[in-house]
Amino acid sequence: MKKNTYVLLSLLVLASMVLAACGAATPAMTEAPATEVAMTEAPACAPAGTEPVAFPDGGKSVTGAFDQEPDSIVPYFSQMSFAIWVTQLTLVGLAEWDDQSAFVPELAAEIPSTENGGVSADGLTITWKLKDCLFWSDGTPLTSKDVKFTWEAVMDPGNAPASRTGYDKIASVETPDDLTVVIKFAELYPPWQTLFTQGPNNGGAIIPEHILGGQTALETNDFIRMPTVGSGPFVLTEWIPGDYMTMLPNPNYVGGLAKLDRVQIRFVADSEAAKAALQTGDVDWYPNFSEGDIVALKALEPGVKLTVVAGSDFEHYFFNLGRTEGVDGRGKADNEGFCPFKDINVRHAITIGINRQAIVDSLLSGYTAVPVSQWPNTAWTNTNLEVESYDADKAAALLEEAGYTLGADGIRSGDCNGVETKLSFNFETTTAPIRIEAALAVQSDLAKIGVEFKQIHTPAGTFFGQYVDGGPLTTGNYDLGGYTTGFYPDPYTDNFQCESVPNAEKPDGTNWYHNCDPFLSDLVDSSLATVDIAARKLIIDEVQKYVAENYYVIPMYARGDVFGSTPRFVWGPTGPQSNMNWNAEMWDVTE
Amino acid sequence: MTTDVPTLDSPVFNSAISAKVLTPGQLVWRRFRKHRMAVYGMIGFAFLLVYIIGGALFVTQKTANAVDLQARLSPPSQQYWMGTDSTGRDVFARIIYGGQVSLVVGALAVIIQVTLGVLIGGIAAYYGGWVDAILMRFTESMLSIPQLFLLIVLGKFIGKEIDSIMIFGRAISGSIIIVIFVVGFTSWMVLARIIRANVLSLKELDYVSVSRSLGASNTRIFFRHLIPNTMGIIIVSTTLGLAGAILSEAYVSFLGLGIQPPTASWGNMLTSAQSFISQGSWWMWIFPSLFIVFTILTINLIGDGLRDAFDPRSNRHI
Amino acid sequence: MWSYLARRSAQAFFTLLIITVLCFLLTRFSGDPIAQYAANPRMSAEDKAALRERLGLNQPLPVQYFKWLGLAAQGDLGNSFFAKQPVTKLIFQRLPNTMALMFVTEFFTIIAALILGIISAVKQYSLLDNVITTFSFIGFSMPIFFSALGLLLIFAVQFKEWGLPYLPTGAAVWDKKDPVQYIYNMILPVTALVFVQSAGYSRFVRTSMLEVLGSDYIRTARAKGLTTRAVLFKHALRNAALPLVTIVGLDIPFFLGGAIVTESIFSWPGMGRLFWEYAQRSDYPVVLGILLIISIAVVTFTILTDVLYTFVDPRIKIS
Repeated sequence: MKKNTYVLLSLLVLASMVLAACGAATPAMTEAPATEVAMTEAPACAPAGTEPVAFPDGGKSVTGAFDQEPDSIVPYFSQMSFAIWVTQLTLVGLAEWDDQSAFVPELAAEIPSTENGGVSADGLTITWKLKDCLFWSDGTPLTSKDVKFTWEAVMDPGNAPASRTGYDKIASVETPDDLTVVIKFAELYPPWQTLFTQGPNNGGAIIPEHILGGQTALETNDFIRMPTVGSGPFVLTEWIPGDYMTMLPNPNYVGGLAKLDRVQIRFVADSEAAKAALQTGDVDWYPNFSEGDIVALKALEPGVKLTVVAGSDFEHYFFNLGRTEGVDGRGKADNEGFCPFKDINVRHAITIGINRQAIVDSLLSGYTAVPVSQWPNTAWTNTNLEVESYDADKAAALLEEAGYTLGADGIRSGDCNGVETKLSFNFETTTAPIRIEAALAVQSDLAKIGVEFKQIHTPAGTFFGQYVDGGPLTTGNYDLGGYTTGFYPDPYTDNFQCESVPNAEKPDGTNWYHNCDPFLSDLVDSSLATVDIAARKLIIDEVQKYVAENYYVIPMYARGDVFGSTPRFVWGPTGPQSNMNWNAEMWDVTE
Repeated sequence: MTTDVPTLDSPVFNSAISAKVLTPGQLVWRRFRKHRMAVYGMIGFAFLLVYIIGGALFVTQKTANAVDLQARLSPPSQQYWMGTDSTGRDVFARIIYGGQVSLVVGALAVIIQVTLGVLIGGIAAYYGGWVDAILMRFTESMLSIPQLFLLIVLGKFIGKEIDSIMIFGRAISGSIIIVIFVVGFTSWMVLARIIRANVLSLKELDYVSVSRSLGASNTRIFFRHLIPNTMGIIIVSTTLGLAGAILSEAYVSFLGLGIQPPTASWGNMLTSAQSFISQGSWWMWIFPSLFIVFTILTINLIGDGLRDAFDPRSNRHI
Repeated sequence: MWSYLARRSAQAFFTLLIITVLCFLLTRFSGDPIAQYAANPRMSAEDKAALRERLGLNQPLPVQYFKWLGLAAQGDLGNSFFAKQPVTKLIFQRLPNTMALMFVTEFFTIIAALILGIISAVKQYSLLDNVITTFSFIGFSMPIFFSALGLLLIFAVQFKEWGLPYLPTGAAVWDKKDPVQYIYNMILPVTALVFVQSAGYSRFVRTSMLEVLGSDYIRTARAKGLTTRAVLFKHALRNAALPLVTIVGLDIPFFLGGAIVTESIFSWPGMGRLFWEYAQRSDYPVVLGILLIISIAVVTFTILTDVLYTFVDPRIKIS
């Protein structure tokens, strides 16, 4: 009796919502899943609707600005940030990271752990439990089968996803029932949390089997480009290329109906156009300002609201160490590197000879900080480390100690491996304005301690060019380098492994520091030998300490995610692993 | 050239020219002098040169490149006449050194442009036949590709490592050389077509056929007869091309593919000003922009005067 | 006549071939499309190699070229590397917007140029002529980003701040079904372009007007007692306007691909922006496709103007 009332009630609610929406779907169509679920044991559940909720007259709407148009929204087929941001609004994964960088369930009922039996003793099996009563926006149930299908679609040789990283380590995905997913790995995969989970730095949303099942060549599929059925707080309903896209609330979203009645995204040329549009109120937010825009945005307050979130990405400068002797054939670099950099005193002097705090205070208006290590602002950061502050006198003393004395031209030189060498080197990076400004400051700081720092700014396509094209990073044709790296959302470690040093035989190597330190390399390897997060954290802490003590990289400044918005647009807490999009259902406007 | 203005206006000079038959050069100068706008252009350009060359005597390049993060984005004041940029460098000083670079880039790019234009246009017209066909199809092809695209594509080579070069004892980013070539290689086509048309008509003139029948070599005919007779066109194109080249440098830099820091150019000063445009830091972009507009304006005025002066039909001023 | 057309077409075909080779080489050496994933640890080396293979980037250059040419000859410009959509589709989505901007700008430019040019030719050396000349020189000397940014700042940003009626930045949500909004959005970019464009054109009109006005047959017409107005509009204008056709033709590449700066500043969804976005990512098929379309347009237009000339101006004979 009670059960029937429930079904009746839910049908009533459903019918009214459908009518309110657009009346396109007949109630008969939606009856099926509702009764079906009701008949199988478990608590009765029905989808709240089968269509996105239509935009009512005078409804609440916001418009965002993107300066690049997403290529395809389903993340396995795109590596574009703008695409992943739309995915966050429209498709969800099993879990996500919140604004505090905590790993929290989304479609899943709980996070697998050794305690709850989700992670097997050998670490090779991960079991996820889904929440009850999950539905796609079209009213079809969302089950463990969709998770399995997602894996199959990524691995299907008939499809061409942008990346299979991680998914190719899975031996099988089993679905004992609609709510249980058992993932068996072929080998230990410590960053398993990045698979089937969705965040701004990794795309792992679950895709619908009932729409894509049985198809191949998904990379050209219209649904992959524009998924009109989703599982996120909003559903993509309209996309005029070069112009705008529209999203309407998903009645069946696991986190409840969104507060806003519509979200639109307008494609603008660049951040300048976005800034102008924010000022006139044509758009409500723009998520892709650079740190260089902070001052300009601050000047626009209160008409434009500025939000800066210290990111887990950071700008780092790094020494090309080149060929290392006595490492038993491990990590043979093709290039010699810049000889003086092999002396730790020189690396130390350059690190503390740069006034990094001044760069953060001026160019970033003090919004972020000098990172303590290569994984700042995350749960993985070694919080015991401290930033060594700027000390030009000490830097000069260290260089004297290393045997580099001031010449008549104000540049130090000294003996390095029997060759008289000037402390004058090239610094290579890309053309981003903030890099140019920071490099100018560094140049003037280092000139004060007798070091000549010559900057070369290359377009990213050349700077990151592949080995055969003579890309400076891959071939090691640079002295000091600089770019932004970080955390994705697992510590990214293969740039410290000896075996990843690129050379003619191994042009794809990712150790662009050309730095083979066997101790560090082995330490990093050991962090990849367990899936236990706590155990890994201890090793990762050690790695950060070792890198800092050896001055292998100079953490320059933590990057900031810079948002501009109109004061009417209210959005929730934001963190580097969550972005502003992780709880879009809470977005609202104040009039 | 600019310092000649008062001398040539002196009575001595005027009586001298009225006394005897004028050489073509004097005729041109006389016509030019009567072109009021052109003379204003010339005076304006002279002031500009005084600022960017003379200014260097008072402001060192070190000052122009001195970074002071404390003073970043200061508005114009007694200390910084044109304010400071986003790393606290003095805009007034940078305009001096940026102007030198922009003008040098413009001048050298024009030399490349004119050389290519004259050679390709001249050779095509002189030899005719399949040489002409191939060269002209190539010219047409280059003309059909938007110059900005050529600049973008070629600009990507700018990052290639070229060591700083020393000019007048000063270190200047090696990327300048690439910008010069990029601008030069993307702008010769129109001149080549004009030269070709001109040489084609000259070729039929009697004295060319006579010197050929007298056994003059091709090279001699080409450089002794044909090129000097197109000098008027070449000079005018060079002047207008200079304006175009300075603009091109600004465009390449505006798109972020220009001259590498810390060397200043008016174009790359604008690039760094870009993100500060919609807020208060107007001085960062207004001053370089005004200098660009002013320079191009004066050069165009001079070019216009020269065109009228070289055109024998436009004897309206005399 | 027909043999002339045939010869011109053969030449045009040859020119187009050279253009494709040039563009192909230039784009290939301008950057690596895969490089944008270089610092992205989500893409492993195997992923990148697979992508390279899939995009056909590991084949020898001549093979890539002829493959592309063969398909292009059949009207297939390939798929964009990143948008994964047919290049023709991407281009034709943007083409109408660029054409709209181009025709409206060209229309106002020619009108402005004719008015200014005729006034300053007829009133040669008057104060008005000098004022027009000065302004046209300033316009001619002005980089488009200066006029565009200036207009944007004044009419979109400052006007709003001052509480005046302001124009959209170009980023306003617009509805294709709402032509008024579309026109509204067009005001600023068109003004910026017309200001810069008409400056050069008006100088041109002035010069050719002066030339025509000084020629014998105008003198004859005047001597026959025709009014100044009749002389001006029936004879002089027609002959002076003719050379404008050539200049307009030469401006086509600028409009179809080169309005990059204008379209970027005003977020105009046209071909220039498409080009700039994809050139930055080294998306060869899109870049090549746009260039090919521009070249075909330019080459065709050149032939058309030449033929047009022979009809309009009896003095020119086709040889």
